[in-house]
Amino acid sequence: MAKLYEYQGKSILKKEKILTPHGILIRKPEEARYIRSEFPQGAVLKAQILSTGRGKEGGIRIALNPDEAYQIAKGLFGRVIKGNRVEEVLLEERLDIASEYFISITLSDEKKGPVLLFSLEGGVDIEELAEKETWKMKGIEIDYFNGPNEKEIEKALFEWRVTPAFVHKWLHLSKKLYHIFRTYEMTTLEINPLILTQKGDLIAGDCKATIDDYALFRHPELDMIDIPRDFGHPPTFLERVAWEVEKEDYRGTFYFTQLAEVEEGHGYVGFHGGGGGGTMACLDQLTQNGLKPACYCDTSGNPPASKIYRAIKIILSIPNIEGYLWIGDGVASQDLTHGARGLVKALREMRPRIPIIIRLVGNNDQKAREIVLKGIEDLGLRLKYYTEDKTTEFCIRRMKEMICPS
Amino acid sequence: MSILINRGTTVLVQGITGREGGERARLMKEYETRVVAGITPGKGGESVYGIPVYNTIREAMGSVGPIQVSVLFVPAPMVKRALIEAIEAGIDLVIVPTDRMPIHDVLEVLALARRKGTRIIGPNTLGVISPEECLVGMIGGSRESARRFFRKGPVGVMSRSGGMTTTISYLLTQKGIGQSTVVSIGGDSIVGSPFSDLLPLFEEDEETKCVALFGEIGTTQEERVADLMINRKFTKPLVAFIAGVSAKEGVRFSHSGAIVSGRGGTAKVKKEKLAEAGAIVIEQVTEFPDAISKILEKA
Repeated sequence: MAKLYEYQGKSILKKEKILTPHGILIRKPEEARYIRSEFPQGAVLKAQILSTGRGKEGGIRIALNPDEAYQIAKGLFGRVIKGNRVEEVLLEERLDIASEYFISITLSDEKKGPVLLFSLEGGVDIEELAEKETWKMKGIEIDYFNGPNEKEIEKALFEWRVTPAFVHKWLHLSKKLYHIFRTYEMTTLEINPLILTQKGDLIAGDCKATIDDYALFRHPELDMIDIPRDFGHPPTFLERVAWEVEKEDYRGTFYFTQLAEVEEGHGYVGFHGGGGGGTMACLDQLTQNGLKPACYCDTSGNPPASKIYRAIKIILSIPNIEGYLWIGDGVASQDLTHGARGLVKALREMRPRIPIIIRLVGNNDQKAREIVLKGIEDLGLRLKYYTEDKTTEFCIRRMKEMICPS
Repeated sequence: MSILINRGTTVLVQGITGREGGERARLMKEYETRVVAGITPGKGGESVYGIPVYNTIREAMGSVGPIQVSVLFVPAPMVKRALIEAIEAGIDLVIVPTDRMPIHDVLEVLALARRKGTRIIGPNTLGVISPEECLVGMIGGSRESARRFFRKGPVGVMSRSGGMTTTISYLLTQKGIGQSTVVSIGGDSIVGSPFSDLLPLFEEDEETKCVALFGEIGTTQEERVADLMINRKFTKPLVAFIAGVSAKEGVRFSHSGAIVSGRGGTAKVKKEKLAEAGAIVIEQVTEFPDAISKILEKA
């Protein structure tokens, strides 16, 4: 999925005529001094990161004058909050807050459709609220074609004894949010807090939006999205290279993410699997047996040799890895000879000195083995190749022995 | 018996003149699946491996008679339209191997399918096989490998991973344990037939004595299986493996459904819930044959 930064999400809300605070994005601490002209009443400085919970870590601060704003900004830029380095800060006007609410549209795999969630208590940890004080959270199933049902929303709001004018505004907002959710093919759209000002306006205090990466091809207007993948951290150099490979080549799947900062001498291995579930199950087995995976890499869905070759080169480029392990843990329906050719080309070019273990089982596995063993016989690599003759567990243990000879 | 598909099932291939569609139609036919027609708009009148091609599903039904199942070999940007055609033509079961189908297309199609009572498997499914009777999708590969991996028997198999669907079945087959029906339900975050939709079918099926399930992090699917068991809607023995115990929150592992977000969807919670509900939760995929042998011996 493609997560949007707060300021990106808010730009969509603004375009779709939902009220947002007046704000300016800055990329340097000096720019925080803008608040003199733009925000004479002081401003809120908000670190732009993709993880939640920045408030508790000091990622949201109030500044009353330009000097204070500059000092706060200086502290924010470059700081790492929840694993994300702050490179952008949003300056926003301070609002006269009367109340804070929570509203979101998200997908329910159980209902196989969108649901509207809201609460009259916003600005707090909503997961905690949903867990501990369930009654404070309302959930309404949304009919995909007709949108949120007005009567159900009214009924939920009635319990809270709010004014008719408020109900009207809430209904209007709910429908508008659903319109945005559908138009931009989102999987989540969350406003927390949704702020009611003293003047009686409903303003989006924050915005968390996620776009379906499978639909990006038909949304050129969302070109602000960098890499539509959930890495749990900002993309690394190799993840960027990997994404370029995947973006250009639709044949089969190539999924690559780095799992750790690899330090030398800690026994990290470049891990490569085949097929979504199997690769993850194998990753579990690796960790259970005390091997440290430097990455998760899945090539499946019958990709051509050229794509697998690039994948392997990327894995072997991770600095300080001490082994390369390619385990197609399942019975592959893809033609394994493609992978074999890609492997030979990558190994011939890179000639890695680290131990290598390959275990590929499935369609054409014997032929794949021949291709690899013949293709690299003159290289003198520390490579072991298995098929069904050895279990995954055996391969993992073998890799461990090869890395740290006892 | 079996669930979803059996020897008599009539199958339609949408996108049959494409590279993948044609090849898969041939392999399904070799497995003796009754592939009665193919669809490619504008290519009506042609034939692919002896299978007649029509422009529309209604036209095909007019010619060859009732069709129960359709399988789509149509690229993601076009798959919604093909699915709507299948639903509107009154096909009972539509199997969608297409990968990367936009989720809002999935939502729209599932909303429509619900109104019309159509069952959908996928998207991003490898397919369904009732061994020695009928194969629909890409599962099994060639006829030889399909015969090597699957054999008829008492175990229902369901998996969120395509590769693991085959792997688990093959592990069972090697130990002489056959399968009633094997379903790759698809790895996406929203699928047409999650585990909890299929379990009641396995419950009713007399041939199925127990079920093997491959689950993973993300979604609420495994939790709902536990609920079904607690509510006695599913009462047969169930053996489950859940992938992703080592997964970090917020990192997606290939499948769009395989991501732990916030406090929900961890492998640990899923395993605990299933165990509490009475499922046998195993730690390695290779433990499936032994766990299932024990169940079958007792039965």
